[in-house]
Amino acid sequence: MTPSLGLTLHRGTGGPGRHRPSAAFAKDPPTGTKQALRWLSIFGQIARYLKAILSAFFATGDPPTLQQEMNYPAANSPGPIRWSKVMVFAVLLFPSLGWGALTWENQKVELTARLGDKEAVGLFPFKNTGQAAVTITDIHTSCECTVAELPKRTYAAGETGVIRAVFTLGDRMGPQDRLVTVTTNDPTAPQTMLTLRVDIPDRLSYSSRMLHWSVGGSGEAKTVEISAIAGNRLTAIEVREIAPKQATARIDVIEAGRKYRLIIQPSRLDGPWTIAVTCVAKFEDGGQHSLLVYALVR
Amino acid sequence: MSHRPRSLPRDCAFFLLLAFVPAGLTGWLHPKKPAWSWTKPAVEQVELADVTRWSAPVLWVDAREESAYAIAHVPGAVLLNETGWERLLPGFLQAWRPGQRIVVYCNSERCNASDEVARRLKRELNPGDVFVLKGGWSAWQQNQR
Repeated sequence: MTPSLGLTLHRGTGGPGRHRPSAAFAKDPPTGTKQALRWLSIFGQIARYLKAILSAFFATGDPPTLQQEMNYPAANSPGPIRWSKVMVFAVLLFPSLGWGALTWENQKVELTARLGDKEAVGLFPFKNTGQAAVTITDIHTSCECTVAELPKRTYAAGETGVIRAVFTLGDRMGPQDRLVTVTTNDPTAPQTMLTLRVDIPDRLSYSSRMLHWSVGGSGEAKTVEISAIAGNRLTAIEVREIAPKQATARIDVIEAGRKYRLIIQPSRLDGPWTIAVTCVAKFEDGGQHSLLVYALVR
Repeated sequence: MSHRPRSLPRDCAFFLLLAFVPAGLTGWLHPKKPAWSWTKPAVEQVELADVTRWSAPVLWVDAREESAYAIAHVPGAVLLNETGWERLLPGFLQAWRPGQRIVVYCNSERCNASDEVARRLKRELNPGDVFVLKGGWSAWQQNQR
């Protein structure tokens, strides 16, 4: 049997589309409550309507012919409606007909930078798999450090293209996500988010790069713990420079090859000072890494 | 013909659950599913109106690129971005005083440089309270009009 679509148009005293208040709300509920109930009612109607369409669509048994369907008013309709299926298909398929659509080979590119790399380049190839031309109206990157390059804006049906995202690494460390938002005139997918993830490996970790002493306070020594990140092994670490020379600094070994302690003690606390302590770490593979730790007297 | 009474919550739940089926299958099986990106907002955001009400001193940090900073910036702001982190860090440290609240901004709501600079400041220097200005430089400019 065919369920009623349940979509009704209220034509009460309140005018088209407005609900007549039920007895339960004869005492004028607050305006907010009225609004909420009105919206709930509308959503309920839509839900019932969709459910009815789905029920008709999935129902089994012999459906009536169009002629039979025309002869019966909807409320007395005896069974599932073949024409409902056709309509549902039409409604579902309509948006994808006659429009262009970009299909992306990859929406996420992951790269690992090597030491010394200045930039990382991610390629995002795509193809217009729709029936009409697609124009890329805007490309927005999440950071000024990333530039998205595109040779042209409009792509005919079947045409391919590629967006080249160039990420300037600068002094960045660790995993970095850069987002590229591509906006097109395709109404079925107006925006696509592309992600360029670049892992910039670091070789050292530390507890802090800034130590603070108060002006005129006690000048006790403070420490920074320095460790080699997994996969790296140190052969040596040393204090290379202290500038200006208003502090002493030394390295203690906690675990040879892996963990060290930098101990800094300012020699003057009579004014604001910014003391830069440069440490140089040497790795088993011959690589070197400089680490600047700042001792601040404020 | 008898009608079962309809329940709105039941209808809503039905459609909600129904939507999970294709969504779950797409997320699990689709060969070209969209990238899933989740960045934890580790740094608290503040509105400009809140910053102007603070009694504590504020150190503004401009996380945009140098060219944008050169054109205009929040009065007293120091430039610090990840492109020139090591070169710019001494300038930040020169301006820093204990007890200051640090507010980092970038271009607008859509940029994430301020989040990254704020997170890195906390991780490497732990200089105290670090916030990100909601709306960034755009919000500041709008406030000045």
